[in-house]
Amino acid sequence: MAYFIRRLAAAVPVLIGITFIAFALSVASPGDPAVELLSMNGFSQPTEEQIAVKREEMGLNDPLLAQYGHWLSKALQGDLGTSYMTKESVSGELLRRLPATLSLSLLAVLFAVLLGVPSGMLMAIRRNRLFDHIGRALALILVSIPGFWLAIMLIALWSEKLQLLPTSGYGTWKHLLMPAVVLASGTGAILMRLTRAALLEELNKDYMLTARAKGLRESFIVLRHALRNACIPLLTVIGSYFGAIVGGSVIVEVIFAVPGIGRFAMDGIFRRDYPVIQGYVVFTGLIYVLFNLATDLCYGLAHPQIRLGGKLR
Amino acid sequence: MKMSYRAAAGLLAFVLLASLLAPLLAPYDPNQINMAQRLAPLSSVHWLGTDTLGRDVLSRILYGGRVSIVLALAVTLATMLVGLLLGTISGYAGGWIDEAIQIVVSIFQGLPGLALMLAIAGTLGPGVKSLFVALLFTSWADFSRVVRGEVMKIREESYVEGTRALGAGHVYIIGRHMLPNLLGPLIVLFTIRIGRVILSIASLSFLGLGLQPPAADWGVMVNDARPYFRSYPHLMIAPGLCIAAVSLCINWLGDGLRDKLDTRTEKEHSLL
Repeated sequence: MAYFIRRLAAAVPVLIGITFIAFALSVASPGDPAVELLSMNGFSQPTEEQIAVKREEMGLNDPLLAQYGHWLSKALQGDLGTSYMTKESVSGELLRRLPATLSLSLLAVLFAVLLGVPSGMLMAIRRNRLFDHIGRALALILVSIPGFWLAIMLIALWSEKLQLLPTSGYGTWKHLLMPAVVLASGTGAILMRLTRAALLEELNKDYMLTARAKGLRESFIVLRHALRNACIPLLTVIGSYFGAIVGGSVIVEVIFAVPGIGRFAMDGIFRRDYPVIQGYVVFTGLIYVLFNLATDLCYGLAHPQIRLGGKLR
Repeated sequence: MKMSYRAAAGLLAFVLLASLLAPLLAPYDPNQINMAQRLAPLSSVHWLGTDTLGRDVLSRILYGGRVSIVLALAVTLATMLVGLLLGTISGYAGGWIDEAIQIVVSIFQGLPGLALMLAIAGTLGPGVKSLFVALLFTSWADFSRVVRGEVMKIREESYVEGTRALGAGHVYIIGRHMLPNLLGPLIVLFTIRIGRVILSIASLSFLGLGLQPPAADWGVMVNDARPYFRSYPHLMIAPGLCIAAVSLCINWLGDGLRDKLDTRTEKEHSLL
């Protein structure tokens, strides 16, 4: 129990820090929020007087810390402000767009696991053989290719040449296929290497020797003993990658026109719509922290040793 | 060093040299617009053809890595210094100082890097300065964590204890024992980071938040070429391959360096 409480408590300063960074962004922005808001309203040139009134109304003349407190207390109630552009609630829009990003990320993690874990296992079993060499080269290539470039190449091949998949948009599973592959390529490659490393570590341990000495079949040893133990560190990594993928989906959402939260953030950035940018940072940070927390808690459940206060290795 | 790593180092040296000597090698001014020569095919006059504004693609390719590579080096160096400083203090001092720094580190590690990078670059407005700040903010924490881990390990070594018993000061111990031991992991981490930073710069430039057109930059060139991809695919394939090749060589080299210099922290680094 102490472990869970400790993990939960550790997440609190992280969340406060994230909100602070998000707030600091608007302070660091070069423009005056009052001017941005007024000019978006249709006034092309707001007068000095209008700006002064608006500044007072938005609380921009208060001390910074007071502004932060005010903003934070609203954020805690789920109110991340309203978009300058659309005049609609930022958190509402983020929640509306979340399913698109989440389904994309889930599919991407699934692809990454399907690519990374089996091939990483085979690489470890066939260490320094042809399959291992090819796998390592492939992993290196996959982490080195820029995602945006891979995305456009895939569109050229599957949509324009073969005409099998839609170029962009959202709605059917076909729309998600290419963006998920692009998102999965880098993560899948890293998972390949991690699986290989984790399994090799297990295969070199003493209990493997015992198992072999007992005369157990090699396939049984690998699947039943080594893989099971290697799975635990892998699961935590997969959990934290899911959070990272949610935050990293911006590029593919823009290229494939997926109406997710990343696309919303990019629109916000180009329109200097600061509440949207802030909301996006808080939102993705929250998702990231929650996923890391969930993985840690599962980890604790799986390891009585940790749950009871022991240290992890 | 194995053959394959030598090949990577050679290819990387070739690209760096070509970028460095771009003013001498490039047949044309990379920003010279020539509307009469728009989208010219590959020829002996323009080896890689021209783009939509009639600019020579080969010249732009040669110039296209310069800003990104120099910026990546500068950012990674700055990141390393910040990470080294905070990581050493954190790991060496321990106690509440360590805890305070670790809270800040956990905040920065608790944010998805790309999301924060976009938000910072987008808020500060596009340009080299915002890129620098955005990249520094999102990558120092990883560096400091690795440094802290190493410092904490070395701190417990008996030779450090021995030196301390002989009356050595903190500065002497850090300078004489910590830093030399950190060199291996740092070189590996530095190499791997540069590869990632180059990809990040290209991605941000592609999104319109990094280097701006008409700059001759690979990421910008990929974006410029998108509308013409169907008829003129080489306009996009060429700069894309350059980014991929540079980052591949660096990652490859990083792998080789890791095998040679740093066997202890393999698992942490294999996260790339």
